[in-house]
Amino acid sequence: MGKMAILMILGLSFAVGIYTYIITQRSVEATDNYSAYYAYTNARNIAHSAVNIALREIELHNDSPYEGTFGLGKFRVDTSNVGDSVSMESRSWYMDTSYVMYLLLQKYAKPFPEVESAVALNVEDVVFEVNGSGEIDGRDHDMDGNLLGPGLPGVTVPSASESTTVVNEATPPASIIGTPVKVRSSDNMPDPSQYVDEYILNADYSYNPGTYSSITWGSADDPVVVYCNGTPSQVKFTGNVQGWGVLVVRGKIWIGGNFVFRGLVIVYGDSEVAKDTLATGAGTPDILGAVVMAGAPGSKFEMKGNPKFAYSSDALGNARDMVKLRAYKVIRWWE
Amino acid sequence: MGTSTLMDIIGSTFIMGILILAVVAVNASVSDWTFGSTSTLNAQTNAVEVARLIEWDFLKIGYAVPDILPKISLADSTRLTFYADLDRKGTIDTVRYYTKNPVSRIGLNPNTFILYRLTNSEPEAGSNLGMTLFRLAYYDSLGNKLSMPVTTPARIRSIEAAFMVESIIPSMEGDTTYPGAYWEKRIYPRNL
Repeated sequence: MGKMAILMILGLSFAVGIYTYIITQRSVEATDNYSAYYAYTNARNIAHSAVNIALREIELHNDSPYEGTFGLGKFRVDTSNVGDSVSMESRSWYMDTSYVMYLLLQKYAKPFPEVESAVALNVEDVVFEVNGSGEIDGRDHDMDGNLLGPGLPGVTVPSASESTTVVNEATPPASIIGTPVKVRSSDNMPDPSQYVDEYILNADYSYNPGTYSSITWGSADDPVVVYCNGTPSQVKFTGNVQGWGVLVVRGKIWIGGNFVFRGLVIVYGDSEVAKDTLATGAGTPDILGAVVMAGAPGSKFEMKGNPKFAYSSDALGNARDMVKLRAYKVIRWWE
Repeated sequence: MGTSTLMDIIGSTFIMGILILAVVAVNASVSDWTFGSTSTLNAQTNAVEVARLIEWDFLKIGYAVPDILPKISLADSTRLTFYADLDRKGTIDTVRYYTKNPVSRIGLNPNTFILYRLTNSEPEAGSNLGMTLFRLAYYDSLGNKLSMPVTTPARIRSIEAAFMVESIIPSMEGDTTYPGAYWEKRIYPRNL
């Protein structure tokens, strides 16, 4: 009887074991099936993220291949430049799943004004005042201020009326130099309001009304975006300031002392808040690149002392190509 | 053999009978459960395979197709024809997705149809994976849904695909319910 009981227990145990295996096996297979798709989806997401991460890192540090981890996964992005395009191979691994994508992207700059002169005053009835030996030079210069050759007009304004104002005011010792004319009227002047928000969102430095000095903004190799909110009162730079990139001013700015900015200066404003003023004080402020000013009728552009505003295609090109303002357009994307 | 031994034999036989009946009953339940869970697993497996296939294909729509050529030539709620170099071999492939009722559904899920995915001049062939719903919708660059059929496929920037896969056999013999899996996703082909 004892042997019989043992045999029965063994038989029952065997049967229960088989049932348990059958019951759990389906659940295991279902989980495997789901987790495989989960791993595939994660691997794909990591490869996507890797592209975004690598684009920035490679631009900043020219670091290819770029490898890293993302959560529990890892990635590797190989990059090569093809003219103005970038060829990328992004591979990712998550658990036992890998994913690969091949991209061809075209590099381009975010909206950047078409500069037609050293200084563009897109202001009706502009107040243009010169007291001193200021100079606006539309000839092309390099980033150190050395003359490269003929370039653009010195000043562009919206109509003949403003043109007369500027010409009459810029008398010796002040001067305006330009090619083929000193001052030109244009009905197609740049309107910074269309893209200035994008610059402000990308600003590396921001200033509110106040007085500032002894600042360095970026470098020739690393141009930056600077935003000055000159409302309701002006942002004042009194000296020892130098910078590279894009300087965006809303409202009023006063620059003086030793001030050198190489790139694009945009002055704009809300006509309901304040008229815009770009004023230079004593000293030798230099802006190499271009100034684009747009504001309410009657906004003021004032030069005192001996400031120099010179057109520089080098400085503008350097600002236009800054990493922050670079965008990519998909030419081909295989995944 | 005494009375006690006789009682032991009768008692143990009775208990063994109960156990055998219990095992038979459990076996029947496990069989039913296994049948149903296998149907569910098959539906889920098929759904994952179809989802991966759709993602694999749709993300490549327009890859390496010159801008002057169309990237999508037919787009409606259950049909899509597009062009792409699917395997990066330098030749543009034509890919067609469409649905059709199977030749026979005797004894199978009566709601199923076949989703065909054909490349180039591949002959029409497909198996019944239990597809009971296949729906496509198209959106322009502003996210506006395009009316069907899409008359200007060049406006398409994203595709919303949805499908339902059910088991082709019921979850239990004699039953009319079919376990299934639903999948839906908006896909943004980068080459459009």
